[in-house]
Amino acid sequence: MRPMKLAITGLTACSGCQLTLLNCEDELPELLARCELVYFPLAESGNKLEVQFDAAIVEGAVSTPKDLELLFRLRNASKVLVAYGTCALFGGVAAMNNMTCSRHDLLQAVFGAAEKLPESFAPAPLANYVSVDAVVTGCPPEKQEIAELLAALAAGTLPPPRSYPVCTECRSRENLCLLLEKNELCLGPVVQGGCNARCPATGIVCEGCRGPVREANVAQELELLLERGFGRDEIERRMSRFKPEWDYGQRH
Amino acid sequence: MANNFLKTSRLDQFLDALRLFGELHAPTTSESGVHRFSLLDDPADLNLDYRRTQIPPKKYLLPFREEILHCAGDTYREGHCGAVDMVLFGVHSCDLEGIAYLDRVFLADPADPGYSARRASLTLVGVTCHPDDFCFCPEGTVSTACDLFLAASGDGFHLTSHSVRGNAILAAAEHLLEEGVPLQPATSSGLCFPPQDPELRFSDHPLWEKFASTCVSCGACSVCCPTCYCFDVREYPALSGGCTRIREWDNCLFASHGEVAGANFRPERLDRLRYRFLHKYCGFTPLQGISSCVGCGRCKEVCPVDIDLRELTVAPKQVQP
Amino acid sequence: MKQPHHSPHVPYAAHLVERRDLSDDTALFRIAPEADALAQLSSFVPGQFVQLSVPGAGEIPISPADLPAAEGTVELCVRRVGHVTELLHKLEPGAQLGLRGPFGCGFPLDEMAGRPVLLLAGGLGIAPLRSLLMHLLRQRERYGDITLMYGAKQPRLMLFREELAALAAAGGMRLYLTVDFAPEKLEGGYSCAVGLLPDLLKGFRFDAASTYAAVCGPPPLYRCLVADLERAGVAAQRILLSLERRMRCGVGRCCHCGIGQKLCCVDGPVFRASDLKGIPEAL
Repeated sequence: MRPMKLAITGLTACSGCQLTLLNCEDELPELLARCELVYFPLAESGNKLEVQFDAAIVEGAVSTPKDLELLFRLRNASKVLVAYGTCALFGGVAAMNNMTCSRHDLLQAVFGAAEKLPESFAPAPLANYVSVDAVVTGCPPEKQEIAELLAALAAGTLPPPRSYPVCTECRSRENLCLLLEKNELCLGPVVQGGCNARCPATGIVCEGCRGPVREANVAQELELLLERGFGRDEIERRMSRFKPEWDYGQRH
Repeated sequence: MANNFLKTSRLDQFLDALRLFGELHAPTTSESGVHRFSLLDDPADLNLDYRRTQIPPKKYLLPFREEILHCAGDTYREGHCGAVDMVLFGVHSCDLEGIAYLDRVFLADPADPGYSARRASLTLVGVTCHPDDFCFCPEGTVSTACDLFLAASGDGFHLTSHSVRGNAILAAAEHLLEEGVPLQPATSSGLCFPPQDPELRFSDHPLWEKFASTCVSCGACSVCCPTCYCFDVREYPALSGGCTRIREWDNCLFASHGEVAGANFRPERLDRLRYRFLHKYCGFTPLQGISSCVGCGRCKEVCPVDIDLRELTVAPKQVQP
Repeated sequence: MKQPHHSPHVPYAAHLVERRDLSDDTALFRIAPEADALAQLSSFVPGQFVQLSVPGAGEIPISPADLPAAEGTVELCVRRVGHVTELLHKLEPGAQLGLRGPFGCGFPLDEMAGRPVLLLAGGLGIAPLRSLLMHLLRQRERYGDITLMYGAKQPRLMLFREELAALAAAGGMRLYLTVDFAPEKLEGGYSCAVGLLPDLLKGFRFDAASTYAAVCGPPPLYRCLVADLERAGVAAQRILLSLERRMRCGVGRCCHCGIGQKLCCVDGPVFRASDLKGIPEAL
């Protein structure tokens, strides 16, 4: 079987998603046997962009002209484009202030009153600019999910999606419900599962790093939290940490 | 008459006798305070005063996620069922009835291989419970769907065997038992919630709309239900070339539950609540006309928005807007 | 011969023999299952379904498009719509597959004997009805008049057109074809109307009091056709609908395919319209 040609890279991001992939020690030998890592600047030198890729796995949000240029190149050169991680899917941490501050103010806060500020715009998901064929969510994604994706790509298919919220796995693990029993600001009901309720299992609320589950009842979650005494500002700040825009009226 | 009374002071020794029949699992409390069934190493961890565990004993028979098939070299093979001899001690009547219901689903022809193997190696020991406000079982219900039942009485328990294995346990523990006053015959497994008219799912009860708008589809009600068994089946290839097919608990309130390629037969949450009502209280083939609610109260306790589907069967009172 | 114990989960081995493209996104896959699977398939009744496994992608329920052939193959007509069918469409002859079944209840053939049969197929709905048609034609003398009405969106999406025309020309059945619209000129000899399937039915004179109707197509088609057939005088017990659901297990456990209190995988996938009355979510 011809090894598949892969591009793995990041745009505006912390490289955590790519590192997660590199941390899949058990799978790496198999991965290298099945793939040719043609373009993977984080992990190796001698990268080539002037080829056709079977798949491009792209981490991060789009926030600079350079991001856009790389994204377009990879889209045009790849059969499958994968939005890899929460930033690539929803904007992520880099986009958390999109709705509250202007880009210019944010740049000045970081770079001061410099004459020439770097060129950048509000961080946005890949899908705002190009079509995306597959997604792996999470900040960072679960090792298992990236391994599943790579294996599926190598087999010529895509992994079947999971469509349950964090609560489903959380309850199944017999965790204490932090929302109901400890009155904490947990986003479990509206956030995409698949992480095996990693945080609530250790007593930390779900902060929503995997983005919204399908048909999230956002309006009801908001009501629930308001009833429990949390302020609207606090709730919105928490919810926008990984995805800047939510429809707070959405029930279906 | 055989001795059938176990003094509470001899319970620990009795538990040791039970270990002869398999790995002993019993109600315990986790570090964070959650009641659950787990491996009982130290009898001091036993918490027989529990009201309900978060997850019912179905987890031993139908695990949340199970690898049902492995495919290597393009041939599918059955996954390992993981059956080991196990004694589940301290199960309440509602949960015993829950297992009896699952048995009807998974042991029917063609029997489910994993479930049957695990069920065959599971010994069930029931115990009296004390219902709380969430329970909706008729008081004093005692299930006979177990190998042995311990009915609390004074400073101990009256033991009743309901199977050959139950008799074997009584024999193995004979030295711990003494004569007791015979118990009145147990109330037979009563219906906790009678089967409902399927047409009720289309009633104009205002709660339907209310539930449809407040349900967050978190899945807790069915994850925690002793008789919910819907499952999804998915297949994942491995980088090494083979693949694994898993089955995992599913929930009829998820948007994906009634989907086919290009259409959804239960597109709205209201449609899905009706489906749940129908399955729980009216039954599907071949269990039509049978309610699967055993009255454990878990769904009501774990629902973040206080949905209790049973309210749909009584005339609307004053529904909060 | 005693059937060896076989787990209901485990697919029998099968391999892809041949693939024939029928349209841009639909192909006919001829599959050769191992002997034990064929033994099970010998009881196949048109309308029943099998579970086809594509290793690495998963399993899908499909109603065979023909009776199992004497040389030991099964024909499955599959549209590329999801990740399992995508992968199936990429496979080359010789590729390994898996097969379980047949499952469910097919058409009530004994009851239909001696009666006229009207088959109404919309789009991909021709696939399950083709196995019924093949059965009817092979036991031609056992049934009354056979009529197939088949509607597709447009001419290039019409499946088996030439083959159906040849069967009609042989004289065993009447064939009426229609397309919703015809952007290109209709090629081929067989005449084809432009319009919807219910329009074809409107102008059709038949013995409604004894006819059995078999319907398969996209969901909206059923609602419309059932009403039209009843209006024409076909009793609801004689209107047979082959329904589509995404069965995961095929043996009545996964509970994704509930239709009212019935399960499509064991009580169906062929239902009588009379059994679906009062179940709005059925159609």
